[in-house]
Amino acid sequence: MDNILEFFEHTKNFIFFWKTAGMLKIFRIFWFFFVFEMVRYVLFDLFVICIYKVKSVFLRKKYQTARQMLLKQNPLVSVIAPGKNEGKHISALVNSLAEQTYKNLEIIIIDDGSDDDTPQICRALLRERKITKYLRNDIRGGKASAANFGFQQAKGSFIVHVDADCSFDRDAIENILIPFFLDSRIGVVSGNVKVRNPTESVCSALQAIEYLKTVTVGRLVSSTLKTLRIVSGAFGAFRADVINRVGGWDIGPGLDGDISVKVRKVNFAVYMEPKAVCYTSAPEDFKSLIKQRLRWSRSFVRFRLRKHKDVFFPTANFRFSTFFSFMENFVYNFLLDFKWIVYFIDIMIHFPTTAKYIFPLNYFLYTMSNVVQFIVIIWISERKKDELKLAPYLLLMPLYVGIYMRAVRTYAYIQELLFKTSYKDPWNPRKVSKKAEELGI
Amino acid sequence: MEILFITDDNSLKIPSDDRYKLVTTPPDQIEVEKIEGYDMVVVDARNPEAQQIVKSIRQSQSDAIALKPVFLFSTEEIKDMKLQCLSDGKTDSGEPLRIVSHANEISRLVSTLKEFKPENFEISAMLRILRFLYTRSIQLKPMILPTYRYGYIYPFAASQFSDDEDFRIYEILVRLEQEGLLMGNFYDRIHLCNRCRSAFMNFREICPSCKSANLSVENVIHHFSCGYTSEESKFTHGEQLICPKCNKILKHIGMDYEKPSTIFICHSCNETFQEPLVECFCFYCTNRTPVDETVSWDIKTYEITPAGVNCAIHGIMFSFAEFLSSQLDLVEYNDFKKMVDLEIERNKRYKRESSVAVFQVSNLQQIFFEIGEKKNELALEMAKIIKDALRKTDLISVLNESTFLLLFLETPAKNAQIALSRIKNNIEKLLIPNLSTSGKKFIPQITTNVLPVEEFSLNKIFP
Ligand SMILES: [Zn+2]
Ligand SMILES: [Zn+2]
Ligand SMILES: [Zn+2]
Repeated sequence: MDNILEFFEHTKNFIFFWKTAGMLKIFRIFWFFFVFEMVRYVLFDLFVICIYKVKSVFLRKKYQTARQMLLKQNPLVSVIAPGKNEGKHISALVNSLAEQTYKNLEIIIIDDGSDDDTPQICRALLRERKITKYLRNDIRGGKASAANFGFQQAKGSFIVHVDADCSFDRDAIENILIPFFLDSRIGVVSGNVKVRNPTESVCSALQAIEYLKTVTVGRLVSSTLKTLRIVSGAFGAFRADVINRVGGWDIGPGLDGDISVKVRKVNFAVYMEPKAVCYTSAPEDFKSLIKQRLRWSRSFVRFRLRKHKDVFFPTANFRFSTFFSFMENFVYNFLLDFKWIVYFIDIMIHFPTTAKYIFPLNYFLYTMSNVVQFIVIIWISERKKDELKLAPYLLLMPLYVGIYMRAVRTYAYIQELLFKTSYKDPWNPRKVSKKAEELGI
Repeated sequence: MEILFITDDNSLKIPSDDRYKLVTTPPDQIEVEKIEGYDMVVVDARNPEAQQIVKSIRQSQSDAIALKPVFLFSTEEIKDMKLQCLSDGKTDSGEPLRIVSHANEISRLVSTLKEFKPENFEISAMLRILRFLYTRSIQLKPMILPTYRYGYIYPFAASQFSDDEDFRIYEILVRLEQEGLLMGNFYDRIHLCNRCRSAFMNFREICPSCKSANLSVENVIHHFSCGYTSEESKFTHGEQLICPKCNKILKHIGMDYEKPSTIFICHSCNETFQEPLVECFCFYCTNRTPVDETVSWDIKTYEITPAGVNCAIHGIMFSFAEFLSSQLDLVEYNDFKKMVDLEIERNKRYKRESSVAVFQVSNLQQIFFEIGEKKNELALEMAKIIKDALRKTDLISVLNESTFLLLFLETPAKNAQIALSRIKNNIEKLLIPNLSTSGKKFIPQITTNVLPVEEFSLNKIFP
């Protein structure tokens, strides 16, 4: 009883404090939220999604024509799935590919030196003709090598790169191919990657929301603005001739982002199709998630800031959209990560006594912005009911995104900037990393 | 002792002795029936008809002729292995004495054999093989014969069959082993065409997509610095390896590049793959089959067991099949198969179920041997057990001496299984007390299996 009374007392004090503080002070203290977070991730995204919705009404006819064209031409599509030790996932992958509405598929699994039961599983699938090709390198060459090997042996005029731990909606391949027939400048189409195991743990539930925010909404927004700079390795479709022009995949990690940038550099558009839905298994505990995210964030420094730094300068094939895209990425993911440290210090110096009022309101504001974003997600979702079940986890999102992810990212940036840690990541075989480091790529 | 020397070489003079008398006959005048009167036969191996002559002796209906000691005469080494295996040894003019004592030993053992009239051809062939091995004290050994369709031949056993039936030798040897009359030792494993049972096959790797054998294999190269990975020929420029993606020269394996695997290229359809199919092409019938669908067969050397010796001497080979046919209406296998096919059609039309069953007693001969005198009595009981379990409309066919096929009309597999178990239990109940009184313990080895009639095939029915 006492506790409840105490809580009400605190809440009353809290509301009274902010009522008397006035709008100007609120803005002074939360300028960071209002200027960057709300404008960019709430208002701007909502605005662009509205544009997308309106546009797709006008595009409906054209979209239908594109679909008819795809079905009429019925081109051979090669699905390439490179991976190591993915034995336990392969049957789910192959089963969902067998169910595709688009049938002219060639399925190639590239086994990059697995030492699990992948060979037995794949050979059995090959005998049953459930896959077209099983390529195996006894010695691991890394993901880029495996993807390139698969691509070299593929015959399709479109290549769909998938991760072996993914599975697909029945119409996913059909939907991911349609954009190529909408616009001949589209070289790559990104699928809509969602989390398959949101109910397994708090960790995977939070990632499910994160994917909906950054992939489903985030990439759709970038795609609409023609600034999309990444196509998920989990589910991305390429024109085979475009892959040939860019020479296939380069050494990772982050090779999916890298090849998308290379495609942009040869003046093809990168597109996102929200109706092409793919499910991937997300790490279920925070420890393995850290490992994955450290790798992703290091590759940001390695590829965006080092390898492709030329997009920031007015060189011969300068493209404003690519520049803008990189700039946005740089500012929002990189600079602001360091900015929040400054912000924290600013609060502690200038408002030390009121910090106990500031942080709850901050949390409240971020939660509200997450709620708004979630409403947008539900609006465009094809699985509204399922995804609504994630709503309670919105309360934890500010912690997850604001503190956990930010800390992991910042740590990775510092590591990579100072020590080039990505070259020591066992994700690539040693021989490959060594070569990449020598060449500075 | 009288020796019949079959030769047309008049200049040959094998010295006579007081221990033996030599009678010479040219090959074209030989009458196999008359051989019985001689103690042994010597065939001039230089004669082109030698093999035919020895074979016709071995094929005689009469044991006395077929088991006669037959030696080959030659001053040189005899090349014809088959001829050698059919005969009991070789002699040249110098030492007739050695073969005389050998022939006497054979004749002595032949004389211990009891007169026996086999009920059918199969029993007769089985007994003939046992008797040959016993009187010669030898093992039955497979011999390589490149012109022979199975590759390995057992010359004596083969001589008991006509050429188009010779695969039955292998089946009969298996049965003699199951009966415990022969003991087999693994010698080799052969693969036969699943259509014509020929061993003369070509095994080759073929393209999984167009089945062509026109393949070549190449190394796969992975260029470290750009990740490009593809077959070696894409890198080859004369002596140099140049990466087609980044145009760098590959200098040092392990530092610049590696060869993580190999890949096959089909020159007929340009398909690439790492695991070609392996196919068998049969030179006899041009059949093409995947290698795992060929018939694999173990070739063994066989030696006669003590039970086999007993059987050889006393000729106690009991044809239960023959006996059964006097008690029940047996149908030929071909008719049985026709009835099965008809029944499948009928079942389709009338929506009913029928089943086929197999019933096999693999040590039947040994059982009857152990039972001895009472065998006719017990066989009658067994026939009655089978008869009682069947209805008038059911069919029974004999596949071989120890294997019976049953067709249960309008009976689902489950019910057929009940009938079959009843037969099995009752036969065991009947035989086991009779077998245990003889001191040694024999258990009837009975296997059964039931299938819905639609699934019937000889391959499937044996569990
Ligand atoms: Zn054949
Ligand atoms: Zn081919
Ligand atoms: Zn290269």
